[in-house]
Amino acid sequence: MTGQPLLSGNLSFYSLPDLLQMLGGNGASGILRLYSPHSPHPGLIYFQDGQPIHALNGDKLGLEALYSLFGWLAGEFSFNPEKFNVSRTVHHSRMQLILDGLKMLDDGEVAVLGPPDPARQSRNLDFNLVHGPLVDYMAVVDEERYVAGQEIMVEGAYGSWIWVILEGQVDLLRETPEGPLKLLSLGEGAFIGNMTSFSIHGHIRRASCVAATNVVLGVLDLQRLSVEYTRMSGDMRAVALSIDRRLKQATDRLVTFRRDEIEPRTEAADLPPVQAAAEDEGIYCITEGKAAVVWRKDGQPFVLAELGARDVFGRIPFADLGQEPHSATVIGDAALAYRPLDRDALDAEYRGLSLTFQNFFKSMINSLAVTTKLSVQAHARVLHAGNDHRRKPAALKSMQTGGIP
Amino acid sequence: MAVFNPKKREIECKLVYYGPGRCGKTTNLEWIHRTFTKNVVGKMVSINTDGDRTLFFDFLPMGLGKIRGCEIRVQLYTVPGQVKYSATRKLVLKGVDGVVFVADSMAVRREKNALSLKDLATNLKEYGLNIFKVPLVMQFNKRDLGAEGVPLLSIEQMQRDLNRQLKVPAFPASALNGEGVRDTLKAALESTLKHLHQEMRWAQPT
Repeated sequence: MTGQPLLSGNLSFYSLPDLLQMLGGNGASGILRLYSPHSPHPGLIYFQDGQPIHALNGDKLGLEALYSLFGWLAGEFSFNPEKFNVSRTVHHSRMQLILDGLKMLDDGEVAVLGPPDPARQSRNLDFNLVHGPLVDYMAVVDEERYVAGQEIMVEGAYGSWIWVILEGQVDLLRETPEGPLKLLSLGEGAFIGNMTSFSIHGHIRRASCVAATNVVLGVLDLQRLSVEYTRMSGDMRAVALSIDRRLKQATDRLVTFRRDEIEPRTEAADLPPVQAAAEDEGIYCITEGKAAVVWRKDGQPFVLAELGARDVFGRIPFADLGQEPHSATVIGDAALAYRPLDRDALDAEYRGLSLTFQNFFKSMINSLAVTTKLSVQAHARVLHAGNDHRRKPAALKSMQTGGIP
Repeated sequence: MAVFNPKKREIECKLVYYGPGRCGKTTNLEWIHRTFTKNVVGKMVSINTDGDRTLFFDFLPMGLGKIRGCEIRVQLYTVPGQVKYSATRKLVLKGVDGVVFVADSMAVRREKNALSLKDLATNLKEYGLNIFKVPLVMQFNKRDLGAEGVPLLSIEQMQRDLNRQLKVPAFPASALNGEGVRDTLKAALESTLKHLHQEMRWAQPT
């Protein structure tokens, strides 16, 4: 390294796009080094007369390395006017690089090393990233660390551990014949594990979970939470399990659409709406028969959930699922029977739950909202691509029972 | 916030075209890039952001004078409105020197126009700018659709909806065939440069 750094500073104050613009405007030649506490090696960008011509990031070279450095939101930089001898690998114009890099960052195509932008966090419904509420450490009994890429849980395996993410981000994946399919990402505060872990049959993992960045997970006190679960009223348990079933269905749908398949329309989509659900703010539990939660887009029905005995629908007092009654309709077949639940009692019971349990509910509901949104998007994408030839054979699927875990 | 480039003796400023999805802002820029070939510098950068593309190119508005012997270089951008493109929007809108708000004249887009304008105000505020103070010009685009029988909002209605408080210059346009594009751009440049002069408190352009 020859010469003193002409310019150095902190990336959280002066970011890579700012540096590219500034060095460009000055027609600078030399090497820009980026240092991140989250990376063992520095990132390098070679400048010739203000134009970035080559970049290095670990084993990445050229354009790929340059774009990956847009994710280095925290750390330091220094620019040295040194001579170098590298072949030019980057030919894009400066603005092209900057705008492309930022788009990839916004689209989540570039790994972020460093504290996430708080402005981005609060709007996570447009990202495939689920956050949970602020962590309650009362029920955390242990901390586990995983490195980026490490497996945390495997789909199909037995396991009932429930974790809350303390730091970092994980990816949820499902196995498909074409390989692992990423569903969504979970961030700080989100829970890994489902409410079904508390019931006897619920111990098989529904998805794989892999650390996307280095993560710190809080292991939750399963015994304590199980006791709390068994002490909940039957109605509250019904609510929890019913939301969980909707989440499972939404996830299954997401996988179907992501694999470029369209679900055949269910017969239920043509059934009449359930009066009670449409008219009031009540909450009901199905005792027999089947129902579906349907969202109509441009006149086309989109099934959000299929419900059966022991499923709950209506206005859940402590949660807004973003589905019925305001954003979707509940339709039912002739055999449908249901009983009303006591809203106020449920509300009071919820507020009496431990903070961790309330957070578990919130995390599950966030996951449901994001997964539903993603499945709607994926469905639209498949439709747009005009994939009629990929529709499943004409036999209409009859409704699955949603009531049995 | 204009940037002074001493090496090139240029003042660089930013003009951003903003508006609801598919309102015609990219059409405006494409028309400008195609037509004002003498003023345009280099190729247009086009990024495939979801929904609305992000466009950029450099523009030299010759004939509008220099500031203190310095040429003016205008960076023209469109920016995607989606919430997720916050990093892109930040780079583009932070320190913006002038904005063209492109509204969609189709009656069905009335609410989207209002929401987009509100978003603009919020975004500007995030970067310490005030929509009432930033040089702003409005365009009521897609007027040509009226001839095809598509229900349009009247100019008076759009002025009432969008411009009652702001009271900025507004131009009807059909960006697809270039109508109104030049007038909008010219007004936006004049407004922006006037503001720049005042900001820099320098002598009259030579």
